Amino acid sequence: MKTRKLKLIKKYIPIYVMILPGLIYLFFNNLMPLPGLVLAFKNYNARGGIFGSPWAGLQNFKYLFANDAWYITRNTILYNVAFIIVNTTLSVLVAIVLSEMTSKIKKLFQSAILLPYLLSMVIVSYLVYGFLSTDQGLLNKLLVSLGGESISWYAEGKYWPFILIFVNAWKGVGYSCIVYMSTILGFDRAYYEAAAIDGASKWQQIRFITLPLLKGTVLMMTMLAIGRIFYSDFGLFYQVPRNSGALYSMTSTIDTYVYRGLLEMADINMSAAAGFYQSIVGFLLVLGSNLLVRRKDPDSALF
Amino acid sequence: MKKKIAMALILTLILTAFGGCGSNNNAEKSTTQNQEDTQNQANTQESAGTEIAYTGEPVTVVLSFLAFSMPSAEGEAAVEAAINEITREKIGVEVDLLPLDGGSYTQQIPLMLAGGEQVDAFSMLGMSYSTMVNSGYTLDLEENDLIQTYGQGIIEEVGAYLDGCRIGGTLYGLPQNRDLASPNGYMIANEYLDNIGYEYDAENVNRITEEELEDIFARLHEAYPDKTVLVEQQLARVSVFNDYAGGDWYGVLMDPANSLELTDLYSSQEYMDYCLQHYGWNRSGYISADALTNQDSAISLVGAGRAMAYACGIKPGIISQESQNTGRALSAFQTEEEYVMASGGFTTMCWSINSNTDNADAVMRLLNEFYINPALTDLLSYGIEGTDYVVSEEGFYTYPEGTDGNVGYHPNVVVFLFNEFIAGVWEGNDIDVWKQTKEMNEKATMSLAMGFTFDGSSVSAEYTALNNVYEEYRNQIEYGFLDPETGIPEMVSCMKAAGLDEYIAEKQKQLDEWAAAQ
Amino acid sequence: MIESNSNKIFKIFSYALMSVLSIVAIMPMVLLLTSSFTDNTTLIMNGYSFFPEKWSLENYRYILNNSTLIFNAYGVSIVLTATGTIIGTAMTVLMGYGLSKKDLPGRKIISFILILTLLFNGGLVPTYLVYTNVLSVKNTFWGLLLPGLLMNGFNVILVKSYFVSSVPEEILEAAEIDGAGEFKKFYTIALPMAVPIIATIALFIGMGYWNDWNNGYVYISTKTDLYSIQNLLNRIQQNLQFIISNASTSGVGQAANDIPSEGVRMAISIIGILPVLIVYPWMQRFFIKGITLGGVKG
Repeated sequence: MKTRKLKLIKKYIPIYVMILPGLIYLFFNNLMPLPGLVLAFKNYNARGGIFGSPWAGLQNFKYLFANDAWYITRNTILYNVAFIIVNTTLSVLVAIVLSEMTSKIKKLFQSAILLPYLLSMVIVSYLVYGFLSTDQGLLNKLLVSLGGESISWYAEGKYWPFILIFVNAWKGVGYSCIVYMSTILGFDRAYYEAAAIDGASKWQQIRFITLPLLKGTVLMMTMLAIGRIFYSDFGLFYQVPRNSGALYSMTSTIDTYVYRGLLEMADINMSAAAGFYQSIVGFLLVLGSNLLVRRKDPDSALF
Repeated sequence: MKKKIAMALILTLILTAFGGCGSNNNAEKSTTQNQEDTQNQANTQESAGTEIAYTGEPVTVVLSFLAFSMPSAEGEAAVEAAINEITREKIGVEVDLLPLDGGSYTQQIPLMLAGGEQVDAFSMLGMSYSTMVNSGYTLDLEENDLIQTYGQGIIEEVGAYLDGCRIGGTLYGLPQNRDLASPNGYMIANEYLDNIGYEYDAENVNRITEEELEDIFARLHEAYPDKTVLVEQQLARVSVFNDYAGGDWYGVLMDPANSLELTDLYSSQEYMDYCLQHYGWNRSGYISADALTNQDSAISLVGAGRAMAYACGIKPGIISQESQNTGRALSAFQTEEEYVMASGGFTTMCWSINSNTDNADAVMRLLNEFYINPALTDLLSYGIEGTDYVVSEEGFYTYPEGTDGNVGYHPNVVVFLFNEFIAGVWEGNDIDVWKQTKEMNEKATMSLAMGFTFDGSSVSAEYTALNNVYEEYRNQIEYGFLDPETGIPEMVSCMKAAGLDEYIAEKQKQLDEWAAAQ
Repeated sequence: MIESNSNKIFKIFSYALMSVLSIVAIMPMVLLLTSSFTDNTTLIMNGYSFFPEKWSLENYRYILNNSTLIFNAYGVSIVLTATGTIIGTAMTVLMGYGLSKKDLPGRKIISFILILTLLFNGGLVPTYLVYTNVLSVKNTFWGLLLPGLLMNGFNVILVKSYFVSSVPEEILEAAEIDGAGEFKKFYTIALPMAVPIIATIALFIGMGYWNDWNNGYVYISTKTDLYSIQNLLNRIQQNLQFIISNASTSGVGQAANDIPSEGVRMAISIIGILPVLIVYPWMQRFFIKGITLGGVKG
């Protein structure tokens, strides 16, 4: 076995050369800073640097599990689950629909739905405000003109899960559908031709060819999203609700909680602890889901 | 799976070894090395009499400060050169200015300090003084009699306030000479006052009662139903008379001149009254429905004509300053008589020296020079005379003809620098504005807790939870969107659940210990 | 006939769906556009509107007045994006291809490391220390190019999956029998078949660079001529937030006058989007299925 392996290695030397630049970059960019995660367990002091500072045990994690803090974890998880479901469904749908289109207008559609992705969340928050502000918002003006009453959008938490899911999809679908589109483009057209000859309709082709072939990509994207399940888009949850206190219970996530709590403190240790907490959970979840997937469909597994 | 975990662990171990190379080795200089550096200075000092002449290589000191308007590269270089002209011979120091713009300042300074980059002196504006000190970034300014030897000028200028920057008795920061306390009041645009026929004094501060203020607001609202009467802003976390001893509002001194007992501000009657007042205003329609989410500054709202009044600290020169800012004539109305000089106020923008600096003596000499030398202060605040500003006949500083404010160096920061009392007076203020400011400082009620700073590291979890609770309720209650009768108790009970009592107890304990040691 | 009908329904459904989505996507952008042409006082008084009361070019005039700063930032963004995209795409595709070899010794470990980098982040301070102390890139162009954006595990995984699923082993083996080495196999066979994924990755990396403001914010402190457009916009926003949260500190409030108004920020955003609007449609041609090499029955 060993000689066979050596032979392979020799054969693959050009391949290793191809991989090398990437590995070097990942080493410096991602792996070298990793030991810095110990900051989560330390009390940083400039005199000791990162490794010389005194240990603090689990003290830096306390604030994340304080009395009321469970709701931020709940929010983070629920929102991410909703995002995964909504965005994946929409992205796949759009990707399939677009890849079947042949007319010139397809380019227009593609560009249009990608546009929102280009805006920074800050600008998005202004635009949302333009629609939802109580006095001058376009939505309220519309409601009033239709005979209804204006709503204080930024003071009622119950609307916000829908608003945030909508904004997140609006911004993200145009981007994430690209992955699915290019995957679909890689499918062998022969399958479709054969199916067409056999008399299958478009819907049937999609159901029996496209979707199953797409399964692997969807699984992979979902697993990666699961790995980020404790993270949130700070801009989305802090800027868009404009930091309105009345919305906190519905829009606070771990990231905004950390930010608000440490506003004036800039405590390296506590924010490192938060990052560590989010990473560990995501890591464990990905490991778990990868194991599951590997048992069912080894090719789709991440590793 | 086991094999993989093993591999991962091995990898991490290897990386830890490598990681050590990239870590903050520079931060491991000890204080003894500082002493050696002092002795190895290229400067020679001849302490003959009171004249100290510096020969040899000047030491370069990096001075970082927050600039709201970043200077151009040429403007900055010119100012540096001009400063160095003075400092090179006088104190053997050359300065390297490091202005950083507002938002990035607070992020860059800790990063640069952690990274061991040369930042010798910096302001605490926007950062938490106690956190920075606890992280070990600041130098003990009395070590080896540093300030006594090289900072006599500073001691003379601000000596009374130096204690305000002590933590645990050690001096880590230098307070500024600026407006340290001011009574609260309101700025109202003259145009609307004229229209409702209200008589007022446009030149001086109008002293009025709360009832008169209510009356003015009511009449303004009646005359202009479409405009917002009062812009709500997150000013000094509730302008209720108190000393926020320890640097935060969880546990304050309600009677700072006489008592060292910390009480919960939010349970107090004064806070309730304040919120009830705003609640009344909100119900009467004086406050914009969008106040909760508004991100426009009061200045732009009033300037544009969307609103008519806003709260403000009434300091000397405020009328012309705010009128200039909004582009409208405004008048000042003061409702408070007494105001506090908060014990925590000195550390908001104090100056510290990097604990890892190579040459503490040189830095202290430079800072000392800034505190006492009007020429240096003017250079740093306003730039080069003739290019960045000119002095009018009456003695006011203003932009040169034709530049319209577009000059190479105008960071707009005179109040954040060292000693604004010796700086030139910008156009639009009274010529003796600094004298007035000094008087205003002296009239403030001094708190007994002057000199006390709080180390909150043992209750940091409670602090973050409390912050989150307060942030959730503050605008709703203080801007009058929630009925305080129900809202405040709700907020307070959430705070108690977050650990308010424990937090205050810890603060009181440290306060008592500090008082006993005085 | 049934077949044709159901296909027709599908077509109608497709166009309807995409039209609705496109309108929803664009509508706020139109708002952005109109607000950038609105007089600032009107913006404050009336809020945003599709039909502003008072049109004005003052926001764009402000940009022209500060043209050196803004156009310089533009230049930085363009050069940065171009360089980063080319290098990053090359690195990613190479690595992705390499990892697609199922029998590559060490493949599992490398994949694991890749995932690790996606899930764990050392944090801002340690990363900053690496780049500033070890690699010395602060206040240089490299400080914009290297941190975070050049390559990431996600893209590599995408490329790897693509090669695994869309470039059949048989073709490559056939070439090997004909005497081609690894490089040649990659260059002559795999690469041309990978055009869609290369375009995708290039798009992702490119947009990552174009939209990034973080690198500039952290690694550029003194060289203002290295600000990118998004960094500029973000700085304005951060300064504004700083003023709002420190409004109680005397003297801070008046700095608000130096901050460009909302209308100007809108205008800068529009400018920030323009190049992408031009480049993207041009890039879309690569998303068409490239060369068909004849079916290979799977």
